[in-house]
Amino acid sequence: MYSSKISICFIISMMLLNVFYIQGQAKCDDLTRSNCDAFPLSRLLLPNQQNAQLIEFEFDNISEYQAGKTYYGSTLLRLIVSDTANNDCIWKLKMHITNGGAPLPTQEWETIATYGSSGAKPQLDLIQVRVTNSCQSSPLNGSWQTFAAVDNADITIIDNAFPTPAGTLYGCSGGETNGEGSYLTNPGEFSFSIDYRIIPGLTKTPGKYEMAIKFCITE
Amino acid sequence: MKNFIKGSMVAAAMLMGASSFAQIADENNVTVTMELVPVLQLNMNTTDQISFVFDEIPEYIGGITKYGATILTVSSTVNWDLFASGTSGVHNANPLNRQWDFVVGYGPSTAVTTGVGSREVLPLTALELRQFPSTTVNNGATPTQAAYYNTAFSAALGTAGTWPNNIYVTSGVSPYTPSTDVNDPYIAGGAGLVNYVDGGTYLTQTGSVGNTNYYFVIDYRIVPGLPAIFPKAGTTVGTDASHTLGATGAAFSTNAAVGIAGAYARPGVYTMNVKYLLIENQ
Repeated sequence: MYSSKISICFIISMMLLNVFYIQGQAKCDDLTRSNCDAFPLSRLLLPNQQNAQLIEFEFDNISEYQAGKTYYGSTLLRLIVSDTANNDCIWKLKMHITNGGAPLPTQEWETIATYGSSGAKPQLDLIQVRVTNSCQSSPLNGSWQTFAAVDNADITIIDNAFPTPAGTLYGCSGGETNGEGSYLTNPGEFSFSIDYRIIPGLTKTPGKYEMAIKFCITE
Repeated sequence: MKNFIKGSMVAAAMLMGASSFAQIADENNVTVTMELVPVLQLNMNTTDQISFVFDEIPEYIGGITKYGATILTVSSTVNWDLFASGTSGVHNANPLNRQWDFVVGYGPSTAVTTGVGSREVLPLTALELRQFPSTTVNNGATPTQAAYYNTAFSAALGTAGTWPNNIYVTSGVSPYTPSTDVNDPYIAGGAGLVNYVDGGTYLTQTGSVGNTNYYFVIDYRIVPGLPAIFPKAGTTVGTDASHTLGATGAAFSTNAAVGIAGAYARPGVYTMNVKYLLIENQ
């Protein structure tokens, strides 16, 4: 009698666990384990856009078209990851680009408004991103990256197959850290600054365009 | 028994919470918008007033040429066309009057509007342009534009039969209206969608001198002739084949019946305006 009720509770909890699992897959994909607790935090530091998750590039003179615009540190990712048990938490961090999907052409930005017809529609590989942190824990650290010009293309920030624990307090492990830790104790490994840059050139169709970048942390 | 059940429920609830936390998966989104405002920049870093003073007989006969009086530089984010449009106050007021503004007359002669005598009505097409580079500036895949200011000025003596260098003057429409006729001169690009120059800027041109699509040097010439009938004036616009004061062709102005033997330009000061118009290809 007692044991049967306990079994029922287990079944319910497992069903709930499955629901969370599916939701996670829909957002960030490739979830296979559950050894970590994570509290990823993100906020934007763009002047006048504090906490607004919108970055606006406006090009209205020739030099901007030619030289492009760069927003430094517009997104600051801060992570807190704790191990559930066994000290076997390994996480990965990716960013995905999306234009909202069909019926848009898979390689183009979503068009909000057009101001003319000449030139070519901008493609998703137009935007460049750069990831940095003080420990240089990402293999991409400090170099500009472009997404493939296709909806849902991704760039991996951290994807280390081997467990690499965090360094000492406020220190760096010297590798691609992917274990438990916190930006509070290891800011150089658990926080990432994202820069954005667009260089339109002079042959794009004038207009207003939009797309989104998703930052995903998974095990 | 009840306590055991309650305890089991609490434990299950805790397990449920632990299970949901345990799965590490989260995302944050940044929306990026990009606004590409069309920019067309035409810079003229030379004087904006050009004076032609005819006070010698050879100048009347041979005309005066102002070499490189205007330098135009282009920067554009869209496909573009560039054309010059001759106009004046009276032309702006009534686009059918394709004539210079008369400012002041010299001498005792009294202007007439018909018959033999001096006229205060000079054709805007008396102004001739020549552009550098003299190559055709058109990036259209199958360009059809036929007329540019890229031919040498004709000999000063004699009445012209063609007018490849005469400034474009609208007939009956605003001077800001680009021509849709490929036989009307453009500086770059041309009439219709098939004639255009790609977006770009003179700032990054690395081609040899004379091989740029974004840098233009303009020469000007006026030949009054002797008598001063402006023998080079004329246009392909509309049906007015000739604008010379001494011709018998159709009038270029509704203000005066011009084009008759014995007519000539009254000495004085006249002004006109050249608009350089950089427009998105259309």
